[in-house]
Amino acid sequence: MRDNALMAGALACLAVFSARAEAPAATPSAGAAGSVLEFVDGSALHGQLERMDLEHGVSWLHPEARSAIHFKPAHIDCIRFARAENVTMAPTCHLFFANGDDIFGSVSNLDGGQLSLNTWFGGTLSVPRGAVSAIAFLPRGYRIVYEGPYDAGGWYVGNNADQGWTYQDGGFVGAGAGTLGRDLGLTNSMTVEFDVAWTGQYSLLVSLYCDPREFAGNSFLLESTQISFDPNTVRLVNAAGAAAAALPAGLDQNKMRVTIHCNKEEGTLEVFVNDLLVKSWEAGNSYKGAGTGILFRRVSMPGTTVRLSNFSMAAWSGRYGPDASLTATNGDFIHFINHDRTGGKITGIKDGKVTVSVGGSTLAVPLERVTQISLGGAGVPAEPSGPWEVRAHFPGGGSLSFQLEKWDEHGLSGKSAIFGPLEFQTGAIRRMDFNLHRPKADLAGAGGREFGDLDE
Amino acid sequence: MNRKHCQIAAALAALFVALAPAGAQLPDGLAFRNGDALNGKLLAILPRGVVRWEHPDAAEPIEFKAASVAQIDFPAHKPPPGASNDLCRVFWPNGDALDGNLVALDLDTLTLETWYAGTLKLPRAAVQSVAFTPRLPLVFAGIDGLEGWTQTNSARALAGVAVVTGKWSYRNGAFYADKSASIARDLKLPDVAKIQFDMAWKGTLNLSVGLYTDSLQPILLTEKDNGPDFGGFYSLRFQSTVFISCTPIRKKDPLRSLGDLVVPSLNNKDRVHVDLRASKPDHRILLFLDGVLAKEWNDPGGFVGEGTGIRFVQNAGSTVKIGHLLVSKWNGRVDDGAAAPPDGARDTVSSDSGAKISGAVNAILDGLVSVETAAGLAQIPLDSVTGIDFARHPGTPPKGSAANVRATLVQGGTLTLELPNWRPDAVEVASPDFGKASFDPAAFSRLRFLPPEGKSTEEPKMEHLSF
Repeated sequence: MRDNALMAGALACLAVFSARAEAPAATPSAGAAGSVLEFVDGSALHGQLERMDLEHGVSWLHPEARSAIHFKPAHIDCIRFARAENVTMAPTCHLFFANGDDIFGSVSNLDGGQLSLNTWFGGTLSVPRGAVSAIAFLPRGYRIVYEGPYDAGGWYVGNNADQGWTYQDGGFVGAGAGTLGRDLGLTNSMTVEFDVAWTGQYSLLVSLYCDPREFAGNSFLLESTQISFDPNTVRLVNAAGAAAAALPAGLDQNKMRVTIHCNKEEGTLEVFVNDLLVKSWEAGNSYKGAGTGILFRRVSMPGTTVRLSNFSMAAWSGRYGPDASLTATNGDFIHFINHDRTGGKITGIKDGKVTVSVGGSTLAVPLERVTQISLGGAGVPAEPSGPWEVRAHFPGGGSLSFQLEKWDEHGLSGKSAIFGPLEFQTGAIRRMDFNLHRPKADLAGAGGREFGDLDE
Repeated sequence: MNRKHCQIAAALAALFVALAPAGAQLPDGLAFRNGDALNGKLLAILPRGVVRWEHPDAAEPIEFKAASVAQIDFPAHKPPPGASNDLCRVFWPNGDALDGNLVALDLDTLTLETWYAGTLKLPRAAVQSVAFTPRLPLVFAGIDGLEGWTQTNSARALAGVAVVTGKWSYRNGAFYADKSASIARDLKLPDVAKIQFDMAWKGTLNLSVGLYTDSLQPILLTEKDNGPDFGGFYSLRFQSTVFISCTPIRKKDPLRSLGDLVVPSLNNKDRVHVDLRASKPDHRILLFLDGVLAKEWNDPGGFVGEGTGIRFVQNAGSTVKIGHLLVSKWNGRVDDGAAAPPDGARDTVSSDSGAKISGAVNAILDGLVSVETAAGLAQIPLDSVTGIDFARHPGTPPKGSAANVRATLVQGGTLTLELPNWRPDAVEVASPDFGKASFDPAAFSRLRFLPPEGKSTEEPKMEHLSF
């Protein structure tokens, strides 16, 4: 009964979503030539996903194959789609689930064992409280201003030496000196996230609030917020010099995810690596940037290559930024905007307030004073494991795991242990992972991709 | 052709080793010109320009356009036992080379018996040289796993220095390391030895090779006098990619370099063939890089190496691959390889005594090489000959060729071929060197498809495979 209701809600809201979805930047829909099918052994094929279902497997159109190839999913690692359509939404929170799912949405009510939330894909849904591990409340006016890349459109590539920045398969690769910039129209606080992978001793400078079109020499150095990265350190560079912080030990030596929170109102700048806070600076005057864009600059160092991908750039306002420091907890906790936190039993969310029982007393805390709620004891019925258990990643953030049932020209359908039946437009997915519980090869150490161009 | 991405298939096939269950048959690797790669099995190459491929998860054989294929790699496999009887390698001016037994030579034809293609009649005028397999026995032939090797952390880690350490891993005939790590083995290095290996790297090369060591543990130089006892050895160090040094290391002795070497060209490379020659009696070590003598070190203090082992110590800053490790006795001569012909006007026969005889090789028959010299006819026992360089024939017109494949053979050497038909039991080839022949598929370790006429040899990369 509940499933049917959810299905109905999902279908109803899918129409809304469909109408609100932004037009893609180019004509091809998701799955157009240039998508990549990757296997767990590291091999990969460009092409286009024709369809997939339990009967036929994954039907893949490779440009050099004489007909569609039908693969069983047992050894598929993921499909990376050449293009995904941005999802238009105005979320107020980022929900994290015990099974690893995370979605952007809005919480409307927590009452007893059920949490009601609004999602972009299913409208108002009710999920078991036990499935939710944390709710991070987004800052005021939070909106994704860029997600990608799916091509080089809108990027300014300048000052290139040979092998400067070039777009390849969902990322920019640079083996020589060069700049890569984009005007994001940013005037207020922002959050910038990207993946960086490298070989050798690379050096990368990230300029925020700059004008990438007017880059010339080093003139921008004093007119924007500068952060430099190398394999060991991150530095805030400004007129007063450079303040360095060591990157955490034990990082993967070849890649990391970087998150930069620029809180203009508070005058702080935080750098996270793989979701761990590396350094928080009082940026102060460094925010007197002359532009509204971002620029990546790499110094040419022989034998090094840098790849930037999976950009997500968000604008926001207010005194606090998105909380990226989520930690699993045994009990309930509330995190406040002044960085305090308190434990207790969270009993409800209603009318813009969260109620918590602490020491026999019940407090009602306005949500605007809360940055995060951690719910202890989270647990959820596990998805039936198998090759058709997939995880879909959405443009702008968020991911859902579910049992895939069908993908064709009409859309995608599946069933989630948390959300029940699901349907999406295929264009709303930028990557789909398969074989979620299969251990991935240690590619760097195994002489696979890391040595992909060394073997002979 | 961009060698980087067209070697992806080999790497993926190697990676498959880690993923395949024990005993599983290793896959062939297919690399496309656009950088795509797919493991599986080559079923056929058809005359109509189709590569038929089997993938374990595909319901049916897949047919790809052959023109889109850059390379096919076959898993490492040893040549059949009969191959060990091959006593020579025949070279052509275009770099082609074939192994076999030279059973006869006359003014027109060189007859080569092979295990993979039967008896081949090779036009003598096209042959550049013949190098006979050194009679010096191999001491160690190829890395085939971690067994027998001793792995430890780097010396700094053992001394308590906070460094990121890892281990060497084995894949498809090679060792790999992307963190500080040591691997060592007592290879019973001969007193006069030839040590060869291929080295490839990403980032800044920082590798130390311990020669004639008796310690399978790395030695931290700053603590060598206070640490565990060890016998003297030589440390060949590649630092910051271009700096190479050779240092005798002995407990309680001050460090003294035998001389440093800077090879700027290594900055433009990501791999090199290392060929070391060492002689205890002459207390000298020679280093060849890609076949060129780069440095000769002589130790005035005598040869300090007290062991017979070798140790590879990877230091942080790069990822390194070591493969094709071969150790043999060395005859002590520097020019024992296939040197350039000394005299293009006449044939030159080199013997294992070091002598070179120039003239006209009339015939090879019944184990004798007949050479017409200025002093008369000389007959040299074939088993004392190390090589023959044939007179060049500038008037010989280059043959037109529809060759579309550069094949690497499992015994080594490459061939430029037209390959119209590959079947599981036989491969039809047409060579500009020797015409048509039928090869055993097991003879091949790699097929590199040449780009169509007029197309750039550079291919687009697929960088996601490299990260």
